[in-house]
Order: sequence, then C-alpha cells, then structure tokens
Amino acid sequence: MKLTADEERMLAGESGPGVQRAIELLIAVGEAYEAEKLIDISSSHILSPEMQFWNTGQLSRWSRELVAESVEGATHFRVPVTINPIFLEPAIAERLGYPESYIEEMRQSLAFGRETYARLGVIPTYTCCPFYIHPLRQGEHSGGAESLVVLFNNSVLGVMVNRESGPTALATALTGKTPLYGMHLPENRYGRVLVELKDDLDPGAFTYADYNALSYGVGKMVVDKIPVFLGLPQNMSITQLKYLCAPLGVSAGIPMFHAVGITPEAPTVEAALGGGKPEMSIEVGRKEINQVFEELCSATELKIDYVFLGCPHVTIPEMKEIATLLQGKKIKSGLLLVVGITEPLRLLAREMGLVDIIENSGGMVVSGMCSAGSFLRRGVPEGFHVGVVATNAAKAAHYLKAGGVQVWFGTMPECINAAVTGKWEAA
Amino acid sequence: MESFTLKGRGASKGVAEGEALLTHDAISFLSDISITEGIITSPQSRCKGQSVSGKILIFPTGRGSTADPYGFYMLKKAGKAPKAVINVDANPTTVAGAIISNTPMVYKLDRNPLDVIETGDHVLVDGNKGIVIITKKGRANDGRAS
Repeated sequence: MKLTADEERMLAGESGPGVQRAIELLIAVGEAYEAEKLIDISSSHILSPEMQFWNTGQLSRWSRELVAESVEGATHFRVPVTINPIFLEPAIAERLGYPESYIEEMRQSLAFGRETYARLGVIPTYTCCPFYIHPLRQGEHSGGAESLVVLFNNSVLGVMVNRESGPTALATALTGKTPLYGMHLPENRYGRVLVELKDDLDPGAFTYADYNALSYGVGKMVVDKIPVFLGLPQNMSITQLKYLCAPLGVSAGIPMFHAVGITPEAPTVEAALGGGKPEMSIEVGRKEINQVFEELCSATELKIDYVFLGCPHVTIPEMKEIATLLQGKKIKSGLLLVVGITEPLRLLAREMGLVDIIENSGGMVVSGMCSAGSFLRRGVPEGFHVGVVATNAAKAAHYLKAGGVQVWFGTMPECINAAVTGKWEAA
Repeated sequence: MESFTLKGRGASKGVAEGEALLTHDAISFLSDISITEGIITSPQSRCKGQSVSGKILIFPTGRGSTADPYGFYMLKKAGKAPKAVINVDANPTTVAGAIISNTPMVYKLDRNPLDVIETGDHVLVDGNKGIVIITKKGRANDGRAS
C-alpha cells in the first residue's frame, strides 16, 4: 500500500504505540480489501467495548486493557469523533434491583471509558444518532462503526462510510484515516435489488412500527445486496428514516440502501442502479409486513414488565407524540417505561415540558443508553431476568429475542397502552 | 515426513505451529464460539463441541460484525484462542481480531487450504512471510515441520 509521509511517521511510531498499532490495523484491513491507499476522513463514530458491551467482570477488565493499549501514547483524536451509547444506565440497574457490587463495577467501567475518550477530545454524544448533533454532508468520507450510523450516513445523507468494526473505528479516530475500499468508491454504492411495495400498502399511512417491519423484512430478503426502495413518500421525516435504517443493520449485513427521491444519489431508479440492471426484484405487501410483526414477537405472556421506546434514540417530534399519549395517564405500578434519547435533545425536551409529562406519568427519559443491548443475557446479573418487554423497535426486538427475552413488537400507541394497563393488548 | 509449503498473504504477524482444526463453516468469534471456553457452539457447525484452543484454526472466512474482533481478543485473554488462523478469504473483522490479539493469520494461499489441509495435520503459520508449512498427520516423526 502506498503511504504518505504523514502515514509513514505514524507507522514508525512517532505518535506513540497506540497510533502506530492503529495505522497497522488499518493497513492490514485495507490490504484484505486490496485498497491501494488510505484516505483522509472528516469524522468518525466509535463504540466502546467497556461501556457498550461488557460493563462488569473479567470481560470488562479485559475490554479496558484493550482500550488502554489501543490509545497508548495518543494525545487526541485527529478528526471530530462521536460515540455510541453505553450498555445500561446505572440508575436503571438500581430500579431493577441489581446487586450494589454489580452496579459499582458498572460505574467503574463507565468512568474509565468516559475519562479515556474525554481526554482524546470525543464529542460525548453517547448516541446511535450522532447525525442529530454532528451532521455530515454528501460526499464526505467518514470512518466508524454502528450499523445505524453507517446506514443513515450513506443512505440518507450521502456520506461515504464503510461498516467497520469496533477496533478499526477507534483506529480511524486516532489516525484520521481509513482504507479506500467499499463505500468510499462510487462504483460500489449502486443498488442491486429493486424493492416495490404492493398496492395493499399505503406508506403514507405507515406507523413507525410499519417502517421498522418493512426494513427488517427487506433486510432478510436482500442479505448482502444493496436494495432500492421504490414508492416511499418523498416527504419522509428523519424519524421515519431512522426507523427505515436501523433494522436493516441487524437483518442484513449491508451498509447502504437507496430510497428513490430521498437518497441523494438516487434522484431516479436508473441513478440508483448506476445504469445497470437489478439482479432481482422483490415485492412487499401487507402479508410480508404482518409476518415480520409475528416473527419479532417472542413473548407468550401478556403481562408486561418493561416498555422501551427509543431504538434508535427518539427525536423531539417523537418525544411530543409520547408525551401526548401519556398526558394525564399513570404507568402501571412496578412497570418500567424507558424512553431512550441523547442528552442535548433531553435538555430541549425538558425545556419544552415534555420530560415532565413523561416523568409525571411514572416513565423515565434516559439519555445515552442503548436499548437494543441493555438486556442481552450477558448484561443481566446471575439470578435476574428483565421479564416481558414491549417495544416499537425491530432492532431491539431482534436482539432481545435472540437473547432469550420475551418481547412484544408493536406500535408506539400499543406500547404506551401496555405501559398504562400492564398488559399487551395489540389490535 | 511429507511436508509442503503454501504461499499467500500475511494479515497478522507472528509465527506459530500446531495441530490443524479445519471447518468448512464461516466463523463469527462472538456468536459461534464461547469466548471464555474456546468451544465451537454454533448449532449448525459440524465442529460443534470442539475446542479451538491452541489449534491452527482453518476456515473459509469470517462472518463477524462490529464487535467480532473483541470476541477474538477475549478468547486470547482467556487463554483459549487458536495459535494461528488460516482463511481462504479474509473478512476485515477477522483480520482486526487477529491483530489486536497478536495471533498470526494468513490468507489468499496459492492452493485452497480447505482442500489440502485436514484436521490433525501439523501446520506452521508464518504471518510475517505469509506462508504455511503443512506436515500430513501420522507422517511427522517428531511433531515438527521440517
């Protein structure tokens, strides 16, 4: 691989062993993809093993060792860097009655991470939606991990970014570089599968859950091929678009989709396909959407213990919708309703009185926490279980179901209703 | 003592030798292997229940995602990692995992390793030079490639 003088200096260890290891890692990954060189990036989005995956026990200690090795000698991130949410907010672990020693360990792991990344200059977004806070423009090259960020950046904003792994994302932040392959090359960004909606669907009347189900179902059908959605409303909101993005990240391995008339590179279907022919066409109707609703519900018990909204983190309009549904109501005693958000939006929502409405009804508005991962088996102490969960997020439902948790997947009003009555009463 | 050499590309540096464990399944270190035990747990794998610990692990390619390299690293920390990895094609998540775990890895060999290596063969992996030396099982007199 051809390296610039600046890259050669990093490789020689002039910026310390952490940066040296980071550039070695990027070169090796680039060579696996036959990248001819590294390119400069304008930003990156990282995630943290000791905050997002392993908060306690030996795995947390090893995660911290890995991060300490990876940043050894580094003084700063070379580009603006945002960061993914943490695994579980200690305040919620307290509400769930987790042992004090367990929570104390969580706090130590989180404190290590917060200090480490703050020292390097991270923008402490702790969100899977950094585009609310640090949006990028079409054509910018970015680095980083988190499938939702990658899908949203490529498909909604026209940013060029690969689905990287946790360690390579950190390496891009430390070096300001990424190998030139995949989504950084225009010829790899074209769509390969046409997705048409059958006449029995009216996307203009889709709920957020419907967008989730469409995304999840299409992901299973395309697996690793970039889909081109036809017939989606041109006026789709950011809230609807993040729900169209997120489930594709778990049901497929793709970094991008095209929505004709919405994706900057897809003004027409021809542009989305790059002038080529699609490898296949699929049709999605009400039957396929309903199948996803059924598939994502793993629960058998109707009694609900935990309701989660905010995967991906909620927008302000969603906060308004949740507050409207909860106004004047009380959440069933003993049941936990958590709304996941990023801190700057939580502050705005508080100023708007929306947080008070949710809190007065007995719900919690929690910033910086990942709902999709919070109750995987590995994150729950011995002898505890979270009970039955209701959510309107296909991504969270997918992970919870895979982790053996009983989950109901439905619309936001159905989830709020479950929080109030304590029972799942889907229409 | 029939031994022969395959040439390819080194993804992660270092030299290691040991007994081959070969699987025709793509591997995710986080979801197909118990990261504290080193046992293949994937129900659909024909190697389910076998240990990767201390082996030269040979598989077609990785199927990991964002957190997969952490799984490789945890295996190493638990003392249950393979001594080296040989892939047909390299998935970047496996490359990243091998590098952060200081485990030699080679790929893109001049012959398909899945065709010419069998479980139990003695294999030396040189990640610096990108080569693999194979001694077929039952033929090595001292357990070392020569």
